[in-house]
Amino acid sequence: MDGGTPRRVRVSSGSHRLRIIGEAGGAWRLEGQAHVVDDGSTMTISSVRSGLTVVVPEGSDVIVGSASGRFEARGRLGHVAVSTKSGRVDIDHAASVDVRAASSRVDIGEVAGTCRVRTGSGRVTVGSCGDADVSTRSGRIGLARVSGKVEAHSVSGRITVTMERAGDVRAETVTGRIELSLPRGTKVDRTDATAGTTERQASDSTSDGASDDATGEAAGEAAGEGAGDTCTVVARSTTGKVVVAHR
Amino acid sequence: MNAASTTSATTAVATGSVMFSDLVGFTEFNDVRGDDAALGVLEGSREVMDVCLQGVTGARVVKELGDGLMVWIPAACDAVDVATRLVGHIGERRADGSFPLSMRVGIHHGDVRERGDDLVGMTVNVAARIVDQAGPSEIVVSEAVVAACHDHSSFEAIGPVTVKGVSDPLWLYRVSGG
Repeated sequence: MDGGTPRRVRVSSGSHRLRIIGEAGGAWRLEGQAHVVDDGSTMTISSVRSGLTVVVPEGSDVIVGSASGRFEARGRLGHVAVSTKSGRVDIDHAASVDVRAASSRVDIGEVAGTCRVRTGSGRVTVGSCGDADVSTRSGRIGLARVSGKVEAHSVSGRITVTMERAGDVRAETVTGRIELSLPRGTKVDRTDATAGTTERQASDSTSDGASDDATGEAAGEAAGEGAGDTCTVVARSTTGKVVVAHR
Repeated sequence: MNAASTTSATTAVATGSVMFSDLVGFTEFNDVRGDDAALGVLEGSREVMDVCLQGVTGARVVKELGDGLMVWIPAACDAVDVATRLVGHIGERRADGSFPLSMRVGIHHGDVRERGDDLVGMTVNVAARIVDQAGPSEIVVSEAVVAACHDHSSFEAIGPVTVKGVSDPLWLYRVSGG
């Protein structure tokens, strides 16, 4: 297989471990047993019969469907889309990500653009991304450095978001806790919670005592201080606590 | 079971789109907010669906399934349009605080068998599985839907997805902006 130019890789894998490695100037190569069709722009890999490693040129787009089995993406890749019923998903660097998993732990490093994750159960962590669109039924969501806007939904998992800069946030959970950390000086145009307890923490403190009671109405007031960028925050937990803090 | 009961009711074959909607987190919402609140949510979602289906040729709600709705819409593009409006309306209501939950939608296109007012067949079964792949406020469709209206809407490939009860992975797509 020749290589060098980013292209698309499509993999249908059963229950085997799959590794995709993006290498700068790397040639295409495949370690493992599978059926490969290469039409010049898209490499389609199916009938995977063992653990598989595919080395692709940096920046290549990858679409993977698997029943189960661990998936790892190493190096810098383009758009990475993964769907699996179970099996850990681990992605280092990608231009954008779309992960769908019924029951998987999902760990994502750096995503330049949109990071979209859907899981039934399993923890989701993202190191950094542009926009984040993450939902899970019963897993915990941790978004470390978000520079765009956030949509985070869980039914029973905790949601923790650290914003790199001011960006609109919608975080919703039924029974989980929500913790949102904003850069110092960010003005919050709106903060609301449909129920639960909302607590707004000023910078340099663990709590300023500005805590609403369980009726949960906290709309309208600016939660932050200073005159920095403005964002809209909608953080709703039906029974859990909502904490919006400036750091 | 006699022979007549196994064969008489299933008759006509039709081709079109089957859409399933689902309210995300409804069971937990019902648990913590009670039956009255849950009933209000169900009535609200049905109301929005009925509004979105108005004027759509041949469209109808086939049945209610707990917190979900099964809908028949003959044209695939109409189904995508209805789903987009549905998610949009629910989103607006969530934004103003008048509706507490998100909706998600799955659509498949193909042949169905009519059984009285109900519809049966693999198109229905697959559509029911597709909605499970969607996140809050998201519309996920099959390749058949994309093939039927790829010039009409924007779709992003999710990839080959293995779903319960279907032997081959399904290529699924999300409706951009959905």
